[in-house]
Amino acid sequence: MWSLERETLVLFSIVLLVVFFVITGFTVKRYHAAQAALGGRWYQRGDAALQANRPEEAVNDFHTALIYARDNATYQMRLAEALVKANHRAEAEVYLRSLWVRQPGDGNVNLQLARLSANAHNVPEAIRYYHNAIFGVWQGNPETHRRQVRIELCKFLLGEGERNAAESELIALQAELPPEAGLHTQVGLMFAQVEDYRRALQEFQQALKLNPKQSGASAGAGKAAYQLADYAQARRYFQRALDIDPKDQEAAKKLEISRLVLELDPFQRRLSQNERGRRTIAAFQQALSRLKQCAQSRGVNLQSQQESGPFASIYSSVKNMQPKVTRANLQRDPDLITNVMDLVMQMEETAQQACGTPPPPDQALLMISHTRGVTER
Amino acid sequence: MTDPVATNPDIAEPPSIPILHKNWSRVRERLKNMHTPRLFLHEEGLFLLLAVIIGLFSGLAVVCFQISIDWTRIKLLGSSLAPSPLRLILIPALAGLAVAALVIFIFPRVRGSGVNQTKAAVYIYDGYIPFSTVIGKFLTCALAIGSGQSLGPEDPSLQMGAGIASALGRRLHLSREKVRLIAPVGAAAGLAAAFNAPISAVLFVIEEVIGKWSSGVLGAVILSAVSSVTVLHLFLGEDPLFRVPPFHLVHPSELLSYAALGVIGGFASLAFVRLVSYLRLRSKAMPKWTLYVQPAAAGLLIGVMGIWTPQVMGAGYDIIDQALHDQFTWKLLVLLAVFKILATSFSFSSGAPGGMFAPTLFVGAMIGGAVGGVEHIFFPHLGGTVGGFALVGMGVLFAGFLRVPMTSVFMVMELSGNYSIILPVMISNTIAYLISLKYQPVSLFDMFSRQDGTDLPSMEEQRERSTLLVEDAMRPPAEIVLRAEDTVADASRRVSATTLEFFLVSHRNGDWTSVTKEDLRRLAKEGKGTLPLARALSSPLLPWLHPDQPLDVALRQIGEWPLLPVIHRADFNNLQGIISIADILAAYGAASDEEEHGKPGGGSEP
Repeated sequence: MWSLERETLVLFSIVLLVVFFVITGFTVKRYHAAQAALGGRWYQRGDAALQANRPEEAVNDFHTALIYARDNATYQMRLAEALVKANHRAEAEVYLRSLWVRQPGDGNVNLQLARLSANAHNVPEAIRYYHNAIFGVWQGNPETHRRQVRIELCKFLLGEGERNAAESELIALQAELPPEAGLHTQVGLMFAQVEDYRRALQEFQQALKLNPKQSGASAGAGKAAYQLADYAQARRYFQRALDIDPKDQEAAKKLEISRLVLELDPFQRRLSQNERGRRTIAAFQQALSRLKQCAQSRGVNLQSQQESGPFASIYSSVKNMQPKVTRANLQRDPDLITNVMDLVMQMEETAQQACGTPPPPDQALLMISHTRGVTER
Repeated sequence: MTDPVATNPDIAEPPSIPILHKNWSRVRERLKNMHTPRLFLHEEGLFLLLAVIIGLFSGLAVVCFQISIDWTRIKLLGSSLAPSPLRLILIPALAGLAVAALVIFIFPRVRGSGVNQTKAAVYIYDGYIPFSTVIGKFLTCALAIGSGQSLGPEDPSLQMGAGIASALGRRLHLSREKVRLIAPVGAAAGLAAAFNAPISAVLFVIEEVIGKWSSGVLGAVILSAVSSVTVLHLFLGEDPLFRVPPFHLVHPSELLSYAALGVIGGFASLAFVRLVSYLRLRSKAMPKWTLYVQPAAAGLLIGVMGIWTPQVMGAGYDIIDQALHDQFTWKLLVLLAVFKILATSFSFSSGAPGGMFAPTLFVGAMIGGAVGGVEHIFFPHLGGTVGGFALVGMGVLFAGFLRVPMTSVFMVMELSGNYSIILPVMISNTIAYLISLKYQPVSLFDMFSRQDGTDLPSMEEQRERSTLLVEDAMRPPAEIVLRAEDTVADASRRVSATTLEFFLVSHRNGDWTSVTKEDLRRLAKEGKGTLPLARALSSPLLPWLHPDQPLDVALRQIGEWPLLPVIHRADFNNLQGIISIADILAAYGAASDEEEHGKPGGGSEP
């Protein structure tokens, strides 16, 4: 049978329990506040260390911060970043995966995981995480983050030789670019890498429209135009590039070739037949001179009957063609221009194969031969 | 024989704190005079309600305890992961002096293992644990662990829970049996909150403290464990003790690596037990004045270790967490395991209050991680995670060092929340347990108890001891078994040639009765020779036994009967044997002789 005292004591225990709950709640609240303050202090130290490019120190600081705020996603994220920087990739991956389980839609977590996958050359997984990051949640300025992630994805794909995938991403990126000359230049360069010169040229032109002195845009536009066999535009852009940066050797070289192409090309529109003939004869003589020099340097006697090989074969064709290459014949028979230029191309290619990169005039002739269709159009 | 109470600080005796007692009496008098509504709960209901209250109180105590340890650590050693060398040398040593003073002058009963003290309360002191032990454990352990002694908070939490339960049970004037049972209820609550793992806590208390699955206490133990963990979740969040990385068995051949982990863990457990046991004996044998400086000396040694490996200081949960996430090289893991074994042995044997659970988990995680790291180097194709090995390693040491095989398996599962880890855990833990059992016949807790001059019941020995069965004592069936349909004359004729006096009578319905020669002669004289035995006899039914029943049952059943039938479970008329009191005693005697002669040498038993 229960005594009154026992019943009273049960109730008293419950009252005491309530009091202890309140006291413990107050204590725990203060404890959590103190822990959070300590965590914040160590986090700031880690942040400073990471910004000062001292990742090992940052790792220690973030580890300490996480002792006081074990589940703070921001601290974990920064620790993961520090771990990646300090080359502790396996540990970073563990942190990131546990973060991902909790926040699968977080843009930054997915980006860090994408970087780890990219580093491991795991292309499908990296693409998946990059896409998660692009379509994920970002705190503050999400558009910029998404654009930067897509640029990073494009660079990764280009590095992995995934040109088609990269081009798709670039087209998507092109549609959302803000009016920033630097970004357009960057995207133009990447379009050039996937050999989409038409879009590359558009981007460089856009960049130049926004900032006529944008570094790299003129040279990029010149190269894109050059690849598109639009030597007139190429010459103009290369000239602008050299105005901005006179030390740009490549631009200077390509400007010279573009200029020569424009001077030597017999297939250019709006040329008189006479001029076409003159240019064809000049091209033929230039190519023949190059062939002879090359043969001589290789110890090949073109006059000898016993010679065989590519030089002998081409020289035989040249000897047949040479009497016909007169201004009168070329004016009378326009098809002869094409035949002569075919032979020019053969001579230049033979010389190139035997003696390496030719001087600019011969390079121009090679360009004319290769891009003849484009120029004719 | 010395008096264990006088010599053993692990065993509690009723204290008297006059000021508390006086105030409490006053409060009680006032409460008695208050009008309180009657609660219509019977003893069983009250016991369960009390289990919940104990769980809540224990949960609150553990929350405050954990905060105190953390707060002490920050105040004494600073908030950095690697404190300055000066602090590392000074603080643990000075705190050791303070702890020694507290233990010697104010709380003498907080020294030693909380598990054994709880067992002593159950088996010796009818569930009595003085409340001063709870306060003492709280203060001294917070100071010791917070200052860097290599000890854990689980064992003290277990004892604090048991102490709270004991105090409440006594105040509520529960029956003696219930007061005895209430201490393990509180112990489960304390351990569950400390571990944030209620299943493991319940299993541990049943496996190591109570020793049997008793329905009377199981419900209360579960209720208290759940209540305390709920409080912990409410205040400190629901996150598990460790963030366990995902685990999956890459290839079945990886189980070989886990078997190797079991072997290494088994021998490491062995070394750990022997070192703790040896140092504890040596420290007990030292002059009495050294008790004042032993914790300080241990603190100094640990502080010096901490200059190079600060990870070995304190409970080390954060370090376990890092090992689970593959943040150390295997060489560093081996170093940490060795240093932790040394540090824990110094701390524990010095008498600094604190538990062995966290250090056990620490050493296990380091050894597991190291085995995983080595596997990665030599068998990279297997591709198992180091975290998985560290996790299994924790269970391995639990099984090998603390010798709680069931708890060890469930603990890993509960901590990981992953069922697929069960295979490696079972393999590794079993191997470690068997190695430890073979080379160290006496378990850690039993060894402590014997070193302290007491003989608490060994749950492991109870588990391992073979139970004598009826079949071990029974004789072949009697030559003559009468049937109930036989006439008295036929029966007399059958028994006339034998010298036996007592005969079993089998009935068609499976009942058994008995008859003596004297009965038969009497019935014949009374002219009942033609009557069947069933009608002629009025003797009561005999109790029967089955061969697989424990011999204790036979002892209880046999009463005054000269012998009892042992019958088949599926055919009650099929007599398998007979058993008499002489047979039972002979079997017990033989078993006792066997135990005497086959008793193990004792390993490192003192």
